[in-house]
Amino acid sequence: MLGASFPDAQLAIRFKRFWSWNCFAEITLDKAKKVLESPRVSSRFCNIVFRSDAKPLLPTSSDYTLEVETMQYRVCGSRCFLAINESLIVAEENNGESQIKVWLSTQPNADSQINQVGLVFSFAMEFALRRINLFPLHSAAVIEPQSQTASLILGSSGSGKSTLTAQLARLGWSVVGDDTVLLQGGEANQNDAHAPTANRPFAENAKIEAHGFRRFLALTPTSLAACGLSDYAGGEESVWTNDNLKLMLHTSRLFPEREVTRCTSENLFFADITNRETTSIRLVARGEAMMRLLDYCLWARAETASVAQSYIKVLSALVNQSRTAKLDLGRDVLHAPEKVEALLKDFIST
Amino acid sequence: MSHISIAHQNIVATEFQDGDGVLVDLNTKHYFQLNETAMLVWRALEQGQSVDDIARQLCARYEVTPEHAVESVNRTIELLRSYKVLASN
Repeated sequence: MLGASFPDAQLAIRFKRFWSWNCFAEITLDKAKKVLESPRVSSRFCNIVFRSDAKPLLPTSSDYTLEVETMQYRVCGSRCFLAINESLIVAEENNGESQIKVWLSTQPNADSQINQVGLVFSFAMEFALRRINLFPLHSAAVIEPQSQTASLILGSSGSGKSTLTAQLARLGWSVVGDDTVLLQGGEANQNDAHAPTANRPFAENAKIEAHGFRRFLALTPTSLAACGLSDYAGGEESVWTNDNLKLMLHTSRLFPEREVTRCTSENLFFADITNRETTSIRLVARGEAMMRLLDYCLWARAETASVAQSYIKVLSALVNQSRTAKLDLGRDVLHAPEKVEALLKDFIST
Repeated sequence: MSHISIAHQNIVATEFQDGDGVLVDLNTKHYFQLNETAMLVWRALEQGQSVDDIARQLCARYEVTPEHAVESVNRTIELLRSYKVLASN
């Protein structure tokens, strides 16, 4: 279960306004609750608490330190600290129950504040999700219509993930999510809610499920045109990414009849854009696939040891239940998507 | 020969259906890909087995001479030492 509480009504109103305004509204508690309503719901509980008292200082000594731009991260045993500018997130576990404490900065600039609220809440939400054994993966998830085989398409921003997902949806594939899915493994003993994370083994042979979470497609004008979606660019509801390079469109708006809430993936595709004309595909061994996933999932390494162990177990099970390929996307993904689809179908059916 | 033990408990070993595996050292955040033989050696070291015991396992599984097996185990141990996932003597 997941909960959130606020110290005052103003913060709650500001938070709700942010989510209704921002395209990232898909990362809401409502969305998380939908995942948690599933029969294999995690027995774990994690609460996100927004605090207004004085925030603690970052510890001076820690087991692990990471500093990226304006973020400072520390792990101290079962606690971790993430400072983002003047905001702070502390994730801690006491007696088997997790809590995420959030101190938001009070910057005078409203624009930067609203961006920061979103950023901080996104991180806080992901800390909470990992503690109830739902592990975010930056990935699209699609289902091939004839075989009903599900695949995850992984790739960093600009790798062609959204373009490929949009093209496949136009060709009849179902879409579980774009941008982020939540991975969930079956817990061996769901009644043992208070067992420490590391002591809760995953059920033998339980398949890893991917739940759609952030479901927007972020497409450049070129991709929009190629996918026949240019009409969406000028609408009142258009929301562009912060760098104004991509339009963010919800899959529920684009392909409502193709939305599926979850899948059990049998294929992993690591996508990348190339300058070549045609797309190519190469089978990847499982060890290499796991190395790629670890490169890709910072939090599988950077989290506290108990959470990281669970995360790594889920990624490892995902690799074992999947065939993996490196997918080098050519320009044909724009003008001849049926050729890319044929490659994928061939891989899936092999 | 002295007992060889793993460096600490925060090392996660994942093994795959095709035999190879990956070690993740959660203290250093480093991770390493191991082939099938190295994975077998790692699992045996986790169980506290000696070099000779592990070499016998290699001989039983693969067509190798005892000398070759011992050499292979020692080479893998050196590799694991270079990754700092084994306790220093």
